[in-house]
Amino acid sequence: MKSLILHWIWIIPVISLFPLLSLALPTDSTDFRSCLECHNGIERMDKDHAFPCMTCHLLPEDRGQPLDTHAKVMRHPAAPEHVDVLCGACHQREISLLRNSLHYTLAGIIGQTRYLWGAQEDPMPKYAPSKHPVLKPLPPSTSMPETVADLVDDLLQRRCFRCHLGQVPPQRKGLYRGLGCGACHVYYADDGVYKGGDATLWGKRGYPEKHAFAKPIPVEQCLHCHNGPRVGADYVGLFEHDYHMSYRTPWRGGSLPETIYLMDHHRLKADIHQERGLLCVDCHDQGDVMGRGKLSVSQQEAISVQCEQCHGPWDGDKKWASSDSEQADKGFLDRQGRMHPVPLWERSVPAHGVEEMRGLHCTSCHAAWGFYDYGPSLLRDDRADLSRWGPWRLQGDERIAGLFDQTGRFLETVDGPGPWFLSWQFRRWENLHLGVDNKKRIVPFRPHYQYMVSFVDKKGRVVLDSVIPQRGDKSGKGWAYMPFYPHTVRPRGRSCEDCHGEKLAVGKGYRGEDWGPDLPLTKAEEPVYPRLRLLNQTEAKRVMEKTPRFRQMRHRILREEMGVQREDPKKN
Amino acid sequence: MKKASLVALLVIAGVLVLIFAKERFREKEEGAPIDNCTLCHQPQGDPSPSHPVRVIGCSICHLGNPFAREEKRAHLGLVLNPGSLKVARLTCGRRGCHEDLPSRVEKSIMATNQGILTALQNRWPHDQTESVREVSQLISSSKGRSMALDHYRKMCGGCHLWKTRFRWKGEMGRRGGGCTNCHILELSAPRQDLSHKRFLHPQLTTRIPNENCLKCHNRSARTGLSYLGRFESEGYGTPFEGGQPNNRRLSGGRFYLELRPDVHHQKGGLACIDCHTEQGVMGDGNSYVHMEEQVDIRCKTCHEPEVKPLGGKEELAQRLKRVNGKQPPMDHIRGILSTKGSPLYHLRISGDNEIRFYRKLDGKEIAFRSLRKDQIHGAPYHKRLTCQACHSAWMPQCYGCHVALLKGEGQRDWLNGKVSPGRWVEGRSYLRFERTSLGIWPNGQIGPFAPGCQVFLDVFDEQGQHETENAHLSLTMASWDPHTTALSTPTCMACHLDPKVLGLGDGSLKVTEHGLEFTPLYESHASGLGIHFPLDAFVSPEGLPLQQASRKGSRPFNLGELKRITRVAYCLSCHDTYRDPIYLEWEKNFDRFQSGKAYCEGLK
Amino acid sequence: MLRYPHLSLKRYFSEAKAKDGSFSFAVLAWWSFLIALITGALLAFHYRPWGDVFRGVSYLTGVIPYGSFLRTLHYLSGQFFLVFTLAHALEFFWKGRYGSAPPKAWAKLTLLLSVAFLLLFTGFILKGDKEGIHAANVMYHLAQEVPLIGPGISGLFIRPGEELFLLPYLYHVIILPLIVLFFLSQHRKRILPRGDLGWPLLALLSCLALVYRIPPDIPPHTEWVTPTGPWFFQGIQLLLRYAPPLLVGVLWPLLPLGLMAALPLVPSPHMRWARLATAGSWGVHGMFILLAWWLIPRLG
Repeated sequence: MKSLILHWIWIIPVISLFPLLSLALPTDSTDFRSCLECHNGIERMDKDHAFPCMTCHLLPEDRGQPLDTHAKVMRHPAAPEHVDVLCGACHQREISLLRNSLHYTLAGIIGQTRYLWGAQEDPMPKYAPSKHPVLKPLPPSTSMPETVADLVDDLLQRRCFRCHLGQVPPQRKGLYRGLGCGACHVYYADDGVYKGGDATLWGKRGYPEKHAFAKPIPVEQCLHCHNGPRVGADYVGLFEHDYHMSYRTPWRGGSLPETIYLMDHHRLKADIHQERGLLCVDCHDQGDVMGRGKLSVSQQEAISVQCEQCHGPWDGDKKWASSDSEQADKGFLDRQGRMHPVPLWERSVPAHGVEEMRGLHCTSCHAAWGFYDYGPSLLRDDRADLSRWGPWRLQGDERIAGLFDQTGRFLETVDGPGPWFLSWQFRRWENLHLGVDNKKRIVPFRPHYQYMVSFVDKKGRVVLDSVIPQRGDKSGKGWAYMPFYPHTVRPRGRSCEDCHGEKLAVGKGYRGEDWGPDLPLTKAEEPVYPRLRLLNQTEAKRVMEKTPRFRQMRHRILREEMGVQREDPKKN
Repeated sequence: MKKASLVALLVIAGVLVLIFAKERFREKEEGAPIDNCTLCHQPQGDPSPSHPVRVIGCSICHLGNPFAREEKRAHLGLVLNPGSLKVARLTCGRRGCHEDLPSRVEKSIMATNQGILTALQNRWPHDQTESVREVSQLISSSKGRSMALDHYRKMCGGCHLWKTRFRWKGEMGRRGGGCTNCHILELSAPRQDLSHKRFLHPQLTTRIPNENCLKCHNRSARTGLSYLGRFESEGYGTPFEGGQPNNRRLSGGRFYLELRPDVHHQKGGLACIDCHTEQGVMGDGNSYVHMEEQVDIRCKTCHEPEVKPLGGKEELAQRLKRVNGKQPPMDHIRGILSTKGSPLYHLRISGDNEIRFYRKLDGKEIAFRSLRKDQIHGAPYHKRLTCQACHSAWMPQCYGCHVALLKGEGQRDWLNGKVSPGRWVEGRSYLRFERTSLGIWPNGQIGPFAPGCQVFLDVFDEQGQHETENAHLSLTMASWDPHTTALSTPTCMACHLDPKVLGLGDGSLKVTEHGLEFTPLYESHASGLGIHFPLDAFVSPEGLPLQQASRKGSRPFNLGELKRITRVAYCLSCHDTYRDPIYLEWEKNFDRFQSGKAYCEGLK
Repeated sequence: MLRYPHLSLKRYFSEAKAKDGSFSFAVLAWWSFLIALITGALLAFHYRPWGDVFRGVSYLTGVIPYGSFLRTLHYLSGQFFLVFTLAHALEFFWKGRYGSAPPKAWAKLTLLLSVAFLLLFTGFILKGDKEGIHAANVMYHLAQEVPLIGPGISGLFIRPGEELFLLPYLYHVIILPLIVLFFLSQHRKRILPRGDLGWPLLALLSCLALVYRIPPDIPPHTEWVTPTGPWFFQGIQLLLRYAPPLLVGVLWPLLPLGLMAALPLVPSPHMRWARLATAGSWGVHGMFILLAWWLIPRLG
């Protein structure tokens, strides 16, 4: 008997192990709808969105039965493809506003580029990157492009649309963001790391900083897309380095500088508003950013905020009867709850005493610098060996950066259409140009589109060799200078001589004709939309010539600044 | 015994006949030298009309043994490049030929590189006990392991006359070679197999084309490039050609943009040698530390010429003209001398002091303009300005020279050709060519300045870790003639009120009664540079120099000068011609104005 | 007889051996000397010991008809002269003939041996190339090293400067050959030996001259070559790098010659040691020569 017991006693520990084993084995009965079991501690978005997780993060058809895979969980509930289903019950108004806004349709980018590349006859919006009630999706790119017009959709989809709300962004510093509404309303830190209360997600990259709506939306959030040589980056004083590897400086910190937005940057003087702590959303309200319902064509008509609303109009200009300048005496309350004193327009400022300056936009003088990138060359290279582009691999593009390793060695490329390489002729932040916008004000203009397009197919045949596109309505070169409002405002404007007497400023190019083939890039080209224009002959002449009136005014300005004292002339 | 002797005699006779048949003794041609070289080598073409092979032979230049009949014997002591400074005294400089030249050239700055070495040794971390004066001292020794000299060896040491020619491919191979460096016509000397009987002999010339100068003078101050209107660009290589970066390339993976060339080149087609005399380039026998001490030509030399009887120099002028070979006949009774007394033989002075200028490369006459004696150039208030201050159209400005020494890797030392530990890498912050800064040149005059060089030196050890204690900063603004002369000049305000031109940097300048208020545009500290002023700021608004100047005695404007210059701007809005008399006695007139005695339209 | 001329030579040698028990080194040496004398005289038509000597020698070697042949013949005959003389001296040293010779005569013969060395050395200098100049400088400095009289007598041998080659030329062409002839006339009654060996020797040397290439002359300006001296001097050349010149350049070379000359004066009990010492000193010299042949190119 004893021997029998001893013989079989081992069964007891084995049998008792089974329950433990069953715990370890994956059961097919995990229900992923019990989110908080793993995501314990996660924040509520805000008090108005205190729903169960499923309400936003699972499609209705998945909510009923147990969820067996985590893949069905919607990471970005507000992504364009299912925002109507998940958010539309309450936010139908906002969604339809957004749908017609430039942030959703990219109407300006698409319309202008396709028009200038000859793919459509006018720059009016016809296509949209995501589904839209009116606009069509972009036609698929041709497999054997032969002309510039054939290539434009490929360029848009594979290079420009990385900043579209519906597109998953590159997972790189400064570029992390959400999709759809979340792209603005859920804040992603520059390093993309979650630092909220959820222990499962804590420290992981590619997640919002907190599972909460950003109130207010910080400047860095806008910069996730509005970086590079575009308004947004200038607000904080960022100007990209040149692309070549020899500009990956300085090395003071003991290593190559850390890139943000896949580039190195110079730091120039930031906008005074940024220095005072104002956010983008302090000026740009919902109407500016999400549109006002009408299908917007371009930035010029989409944005309505004006300097005069806070700083007061030019000398009691009646147009601005409805400005807030009367209340501005109390100050400006920003979205973070701080009160700022507002300097109002004053005639006593020397330059403001010149009546002719009334027709200028404030930034014509008050912008300290702008983005002047001349002569973009775009080359699509379908060849298998792209190692020749190694020296320019850092150009703010995820795909190109991914083709090379840390040392610049070219890795294997994926078969298919090659990347679009961008290069410039030269880039400057100084010497602004002038033109006239749709509100008939003289504003800074910049070389926006001076493309030279090249395409090499996978056999190495150079199909297009630095071709200048022709506009879709055959009205000329597909190059354009466009107005922009540099967000580099400083309390003191630029010197008068920056424009007066400066051929570059009136669009005639740097210096003269005998300056070689590169500098004609500084000559202005016609803008895209008919209501915008360059300075005409009369205006240019007035700017260039030192008329007696100019001399008098200039002298007065200098006198008032220099404070040169003088006794009253004695009449003798 | 007699039989043995007989056989022996027969053998001896046989040997003698054999020798006769084999050696093919040649008759000595009348007047021709005996150079058995041509038994195996037949050069097509003479090096130059004054070096005919039939008359002087081969070994007079190439040494070796001209009488030997076998290869080893003949080639012992042979010199492929007779111009090499190592043998120049025996070849070009042999008795009866160019005797005085090797010693002059050896002391010239292209052979000694004294300027480069002095600058590096003074401004970079360097152990003074290891100092050298000339590059020849570095070649023969392995001396020079301080950072300054190691940098020289690997990054600068490719551009001097002691360097061996053709040791490497491309531009680096074409540099160097002593006399040959300048005097050879590159296109006439393709790399060919000299063991073939017939080959093209490279051509020598006294009419040195610009390409020979540009081999080296396309770096650093880039004077050669600027003269031709080329600006070393930001390196994009655009617009693309044939699906890749275009052909406007320079050595070292660089690209250039085409800007406006110097007017002497653009309008006159002048070459470098049309201004730079042989004495200025080859030296006068003295060893100078800086280039400008050796250069013997100034704008004034031609444009404000002093015509005088040449006297003893007439013979030299005639000889130089003959050696040039393209000049029209002219006497040199009267002429113009360079600052060191070298006659400008390509200028013909006619009776009424009319000057005719003939290009050295082809003898074509160029319309010559003397300086107009007018109010502009006679203005006493601008007498401190150099010609270059106004007439330089642009100047290449390379801001922020980031240099790193990677101790864990190796790089070729151009002086001894071997790879040694330590690799130098260079980067930059940004480039410009517009709006040249001004300052005071060493001679006290006002002239253009540009970065030269703003060194941010970082050292990384063998494991790639940054050696913080060895990081070094040496920010210098340098002055030179940019060689971008233009007829047009900037407007008054472009100098008097432009903060960048005044040396403050780009930004917002306000001139008040208390002084200058300046807000710079470039935020150096936020950009990671570790300094608190922008890279283009030579002087602070308080008049304190923020960067070093490249020469003793050169400096930015001081506060008094800055105030004086900007104050003139007050009147320049209206009084902007040289004819205006108020500037002739400026201080007095300004006082009159301030005391109310002078009328001012602008005050209405 | 005619069919086998070499047999006649063979017979001559065996006859000579039978006669006085010697190999015919002396006769061969003497014929070599004569050939060298005659070829040297022919060369003297074109040789100039002033100006650009190197160029002159190159001209002679490369351009003058039969110049190269004559020069090679002269060189080979000179070398053979020294070798045969040494062999002859070795043979009679081995046979202990100093015992039966008067000391003064024996000393004169040793002196003759030294003169043979000097002839070849001066001939080497007269090449006029980098090695020749180097050899001249070495000789000058060694002469200076002799205590007391050195600086005075060095000017009798070499005068540095423009006329560097003049004195060696005089020694090589006139003075030393005359000394040789004078002492030989005392050594042997007949100056001219029997003619049997002359022509065959000349034929042999001519054939050798046809195939033998003397080493290329190094131009004086060449920098990258280490000049070496004549083969018999290289041992001393190696030692001169490491030891004081007076010791290894003057005393050490004179030691074997001095020992040899002093042999007749040595009393018989010590004769064995003296012989050993003499042989030893010659042997060590030889070893150093071999060592230098191997070592100097590697040292550079």
